[in-house]
Amino acid sequence: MTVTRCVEVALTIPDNEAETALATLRRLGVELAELRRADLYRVELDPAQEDTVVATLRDLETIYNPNKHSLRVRADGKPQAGELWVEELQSESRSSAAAARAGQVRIAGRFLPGVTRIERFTAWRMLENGGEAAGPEVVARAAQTLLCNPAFQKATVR
Amino acid sequence: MSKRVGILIFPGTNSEEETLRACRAVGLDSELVHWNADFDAVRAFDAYVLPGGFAYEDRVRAGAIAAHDRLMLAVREGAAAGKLVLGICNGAQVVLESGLAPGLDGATNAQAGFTRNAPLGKYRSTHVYVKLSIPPERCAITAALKPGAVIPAWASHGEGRLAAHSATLGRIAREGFLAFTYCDANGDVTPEAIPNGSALGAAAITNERGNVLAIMPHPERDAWTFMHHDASREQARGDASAMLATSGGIALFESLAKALAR
Amino acid sequence: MRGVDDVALQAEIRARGLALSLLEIRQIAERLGRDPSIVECHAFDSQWSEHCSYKSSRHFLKRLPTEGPTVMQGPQEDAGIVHLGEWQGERYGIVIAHESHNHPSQVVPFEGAATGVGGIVRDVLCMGARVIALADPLRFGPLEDPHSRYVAQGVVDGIAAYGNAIGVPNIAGDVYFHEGFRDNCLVNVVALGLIKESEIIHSVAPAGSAGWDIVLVGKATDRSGFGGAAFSSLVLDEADAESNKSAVQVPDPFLKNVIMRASYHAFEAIRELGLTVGFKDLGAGGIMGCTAELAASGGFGARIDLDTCPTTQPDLPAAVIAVGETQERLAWVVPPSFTPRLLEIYNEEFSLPMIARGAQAAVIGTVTTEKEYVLTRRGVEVMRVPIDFLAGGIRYDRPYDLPKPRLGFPTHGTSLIKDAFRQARGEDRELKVMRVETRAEEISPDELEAEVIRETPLVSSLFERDLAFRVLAHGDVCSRRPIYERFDSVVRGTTSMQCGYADAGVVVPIPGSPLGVALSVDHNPRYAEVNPELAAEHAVCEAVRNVVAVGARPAGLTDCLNFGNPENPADFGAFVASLDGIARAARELSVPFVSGNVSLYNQSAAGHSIPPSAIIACVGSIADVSRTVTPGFKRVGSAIYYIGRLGRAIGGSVLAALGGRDPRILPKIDYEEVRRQNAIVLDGIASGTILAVHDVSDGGIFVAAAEMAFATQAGARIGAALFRGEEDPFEPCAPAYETAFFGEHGGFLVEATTDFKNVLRSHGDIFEYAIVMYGYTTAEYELSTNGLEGDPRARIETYSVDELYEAWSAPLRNFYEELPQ
Repeated sequence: MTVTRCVEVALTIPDNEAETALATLRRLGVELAELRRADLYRVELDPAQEDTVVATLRDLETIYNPNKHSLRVRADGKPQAGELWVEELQSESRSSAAAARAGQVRIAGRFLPGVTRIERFTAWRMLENGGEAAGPEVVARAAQTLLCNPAFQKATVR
Repeated sequence: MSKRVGILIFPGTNSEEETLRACRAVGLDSELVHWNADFDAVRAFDAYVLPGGFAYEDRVRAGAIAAHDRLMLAVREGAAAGKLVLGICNGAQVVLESGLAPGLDGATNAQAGFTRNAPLGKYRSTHVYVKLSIPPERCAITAALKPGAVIPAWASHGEGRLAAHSATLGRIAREGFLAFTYCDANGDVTPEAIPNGSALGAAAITNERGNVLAIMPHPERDAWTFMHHDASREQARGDASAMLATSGGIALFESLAKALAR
Repeated sequence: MRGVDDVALQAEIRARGLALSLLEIRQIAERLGRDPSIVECHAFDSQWSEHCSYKSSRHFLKRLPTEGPTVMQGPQEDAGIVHLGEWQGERYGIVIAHESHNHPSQVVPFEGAATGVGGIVRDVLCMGARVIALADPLRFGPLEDPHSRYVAQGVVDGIAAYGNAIGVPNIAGDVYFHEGFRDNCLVNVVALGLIKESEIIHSVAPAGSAGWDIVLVGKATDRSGFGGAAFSSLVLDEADAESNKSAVQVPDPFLKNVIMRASYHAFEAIRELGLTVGFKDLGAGGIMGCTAELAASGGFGARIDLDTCPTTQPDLPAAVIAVGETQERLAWVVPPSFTPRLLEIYNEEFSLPMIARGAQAAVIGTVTTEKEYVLTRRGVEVMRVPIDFLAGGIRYDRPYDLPKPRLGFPTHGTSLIKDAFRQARGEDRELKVMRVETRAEEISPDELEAEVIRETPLVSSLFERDLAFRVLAHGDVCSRRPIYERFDSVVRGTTSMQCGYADAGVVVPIPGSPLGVALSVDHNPRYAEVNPELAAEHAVCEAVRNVVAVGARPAGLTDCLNFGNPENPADFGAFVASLDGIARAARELSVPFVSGNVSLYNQSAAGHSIPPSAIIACVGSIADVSRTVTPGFKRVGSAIYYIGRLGRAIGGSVLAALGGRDPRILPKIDYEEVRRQNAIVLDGIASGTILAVHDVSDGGIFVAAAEMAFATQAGARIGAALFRGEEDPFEPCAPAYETAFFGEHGGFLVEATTDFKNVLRSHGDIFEYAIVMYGYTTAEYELSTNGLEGDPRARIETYSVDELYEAWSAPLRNFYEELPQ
C-alpha cells in the first residue's frame, strides 16, 4: 500500500530564473502577470515512512537549503490549474524501476526508505492579471515557446 | 574586404577570450560582440561564433534563454541567408535550442538538445578526441579538414548528452547531420570514448545546409602546443616559438577560416 | 551599560547574538564615553572578531619572512603580489590570495564552499588584476563515514558550481581524508591574478581623496550573511547548525561572472584616464568593514548613508545593512568626476540590474577628512566612532604551550648525537646505517640505538606483494580524478598543466608570451599529528618542491593557518610552533610569504581540534614555458634517478598508516640538501637533461614511479642502489625494502638523459650517499622493484602497470555513490 506525495521546494529569495523566464515569455508574446518556479519531487511511498523521507530530503542541502528555500508537502500528485510540470525524459527510469523493486530508491545518493518511485519535475505556476491561474492554452503555449524542449522533456498540464 | 567574425557574448559566457584568440590565430578578422551591442552592427558580421560558458546562467535549460536573445535574431537571419555559425559548448546548446541545427525538413524549432550528462548527471571536464564522421564538404565549416580527421578537445560541460526522439536520432545518424563523434586518440570510435552518454556518441551536429555546426567539446582549449599532453609537447621542449604555436584543435578554426576565405 | 552588572550584560550580549566579550564591550563604552548603539555593537562585534582582527594571531604573523627580490607587494592588503617577469617592456606580477571557508562548509557544504571561491576571487579582482587560476586544498573526514562523504561531495560540487561558472581555471589542489576532520572539514581556496606593475590598484582611499565618492557595486544587500564574521569565531554545535545556516551567504556566480568582466572594463577606463582610485571587496563586516578599512588605511574617515545602499527589502534593520555579509559586492573610492562613467559601465553596459534583482552600482557615501566613521539611516546618525579605534582591532596575548618535543622534533646541528652513537656502537655496519639515515633526530642516543636495533635484523617482516596495491589504494594516494574532473581546469585557454596532471598546475597567462605561472598547495595532516612544527616545515618544502618539479622558480608563498581553539594553550602552542616552522622553512629556502589567512576555532562541539594545518601555497615563475617538464615517462631505456636522501623514518607516512611500524619519527629536513635537490632539478630541466619529474611524497618512491608510468606507456625497473660515482656505483643501503620504496623521504624521482650526470657532478659530491640511481624505463608496461645487490633480502617484484592503475583509480571512482547503510 503506497501513497503519492509531492515535496515542493521553492526559493524564498528573489528567483532570478523565474524572472528571466517571465521576461522572455512576455517578449515572445505570452502574456503572463506572474511566473513562479519550484522543484517538485513526486514520491510514491509507504505512508509510514513519509516523515523519514521528508526529513531526508530536508537534510540534503542541494535539494533544500533553509537559507533560501521553503519546503512543503502536497498531497496531490498532478498539476493544479495554471501549473506546468516539466520532467526530463530519461532512459534512467528503467534502472530506477529496477532499483525500486530492490527497495533501493535513492536521491542525491541518499537512500529513501519505503519509497517505490520518485520523479523530479520543475513546476511552473502561471498567473494572469488579477492573480487567477492562467488558462490551459496559455500554459501550453508557455511550455511550447520556452519552458519545455520536447526533444528530451515532457510537459504535464492539468 | 576580409570576412568579419562576430563572437557573441551573453551574460554568463566565459570562453570568449580563448575563442577570440583561436579565431585571430587563423587570421580571422574577429571581435567580441556584447549582448548590448547595436543590432545593425551585429547583423553586419559575415559569420558568428557562439563561445562556451553559462549564458543567462543556463536558466530554464542550458542555452534556452540565449536562444531567444536579441542577438540570436541576427544569427537566425544570417544562418537563413547562408552565413556560417559555429557554436561551441554552451554555444552549441544555444544552437540546438534555437533550432538552427539539425533543422530536419526545414524545421526552425528545437528537435534535439544537449542535456544532462549520463550517468552521473554532473559537470565533467576531461580531455577527448573527436572524429569527423561526415564527408568534409558536407559542412562548410569542416570542408577543409581531411576525411575522418581526428581533433583533440576538452569536453567541459554538465549538459553535453545529445538527446532526441529515436526517429530524430536515426535521421541525424543516417542523413549526414552527425558531424563529429567522440573517439580515442587513435581515432577509434568506442563507447569508452564518450564522456557524457551522448546519443550516437555525438560530439557535434550540423544542419541541412551545412552552414551551422554545434560542437560540444572545446577544440580551442587544446589548440596550442603548450596545452597538449601528447608527444608534440615533448617535441617542442626547449623551443619557445614551437611551444607557443597553434596545433591540434586549431584545425577546426583553420577550416572555418578557409571557408570564409572562399 | 555602566550600571549593569556583568551577568546581566553578558546575557544581553548573547541574546543579541554578539560574540564580543564583556571586557571588549566595556572597553568600547569607555572609549566612546557612552553606551554603544545597536549598530555600533554589531560593527565592533564584526571588526573585532578573530576573523577580521586576527586578535590572537596578528603579532605572531610578524615572524614570517615577507621580503625578497620577487616581492612586488607583501602582506598588507587582501592579496600579495610577486614578480612574474617582463614581457614587451612591462613588468608583470602575480597576485595571490589564500583563504578558508571551513565553518560554513561544514554546515552547508555546497553553498559554503561556493561562497569561499567567490570571496577569494574578489580579493584578487580588487587589486586591479585579471583572475587567472584557482586551487583548492581540501580536508575531509574519512570517506567511510557517510556524513563526511556528504560534506565532501557538497564541497566539491559547490566549488565546481562557482568556479566553473565564473570561468577561472582550477589548476591545483590536494585532498586528504582524515579522522581529525570528521566534525570540521577544511575548505581552503587560493586564487591567482595577473597584473602589470604599473596598473596595481590598492584597497586604500588614495591621497587627496577627501570628498570622493564611495561606490558600492554588486548584489543588493539582503538579510543573508548577517553575523557571518562572529559566526566563524564560534564553536560549531550540531544543534546550532540549523540556526547557523542563516549566517551563510547566498553566492551568485553568474552575477560574479558579469561583475568581473564589468570591472575589467572599469580598469581600462581608469587606466585611460590615469586615475588613482581605491577598490576593495566586501567580506567580513560587510559595508561597514570594507568602507571603514578603505578610509582608515588612507588616513581618512567616511560617511555612509545606509538609505542609499541598494537592498532587497525596504525595512532591513540598519545593523543588517551595515554589517550583513551579502555576497558579490565590492566598493570603489573614485573622484566624483568619474562616478557617472563607473555607474554607466556596471548598470548600463553590463546591465547588472538585469542580471539579478536589485544588483547595481550606487554611490553610498563620501570619504571625509575627519577621522570618524559615521553611518546614517533615515537622517539619523546610527554610528559615529573614531575610525582608527574601529579599524585597529584589538590584540590578545594568549598563553600557549609549545608541543612536547616528541621524537623527530627537529634539531639543528646533530653531529653530537651522531658521535655519541658512534661511541655507543662503533661497528662499521651500523655506521653505514648512520650515513644514510637522515640526520639524527633529537632523541637520546639510547633511544636512537634502540630504534636502530629494532630495525637491524634486516628481515622484511612487513613486506608483502599486496602492500603496493594497498598503498596505491590508500585514500591519501589514490587518484583524485573523479574530484578534479568536476572542476573546469582549462577555461581561458591558458592552461598548460591542469589540476592533478603534474605536481603543480601551470598556466601561460599572457597570450604570445612564454612566461608561465606554477601553483601548488601542500600540508600533510598525518605529519601534523606527529609533529606540527616539522609538518609545517615539510609543507613549505613540498609546496616549493612541487613548483620546482615542473621547472618553475619559487617566487612566493601564502599560508592558511587552520588551527583549533586559541584559548586552549595546547592548540595555540601548535599554532605558534607551526608558524615558527613555516617561517624557518621559508627563510631557509629564501621564498617570502606575501599573503595569508588564519582560521581558528576549528574543532568539534566536543572540543576535539583538527590536526594542526598550516596549509601552504607556492607560486612559481616560469621564464620559458617550453622549458617545463611533466611527470610521465618519455622514453624507453632512459635512466631514473632518485634525487633525495633515503631515510628510515616513516612516521606519519602512508606506510605507517597501513600498519607499518611507526616509530613516530618524521623524515627530517636538511635544508642544505633540499636547496641542492631543488637546484639540481631546476638545472636538469633548464639543460633539457631531465625528461620527467615527480616529487616523492605520500606513498614514497614506488608511488612516484607508478604515477610516472600511469601518465605514459612506458614501464620502469627501479632498484635501491646507491650511486657513488662510476667506480663504485653500488653499496648496500640500509633501509628495509618497504621503507626504501614506500617511505616518504622527499626529493624527486626523475627520468634523465645520460648527460644529466654532468649536471649532478656540477653540484659537488655532497650527494654521494643521497642520490640513488634507481633504474631505467622499460618497453614492458611493468613496474619492477629490485632489492639491493648483495642484500640478503634482494628480490624482484614485478607489477603490471595496468593492475596498479586499477588499484589507484578504483577508490574514488564511486565518490558520488552513497555508502550502503
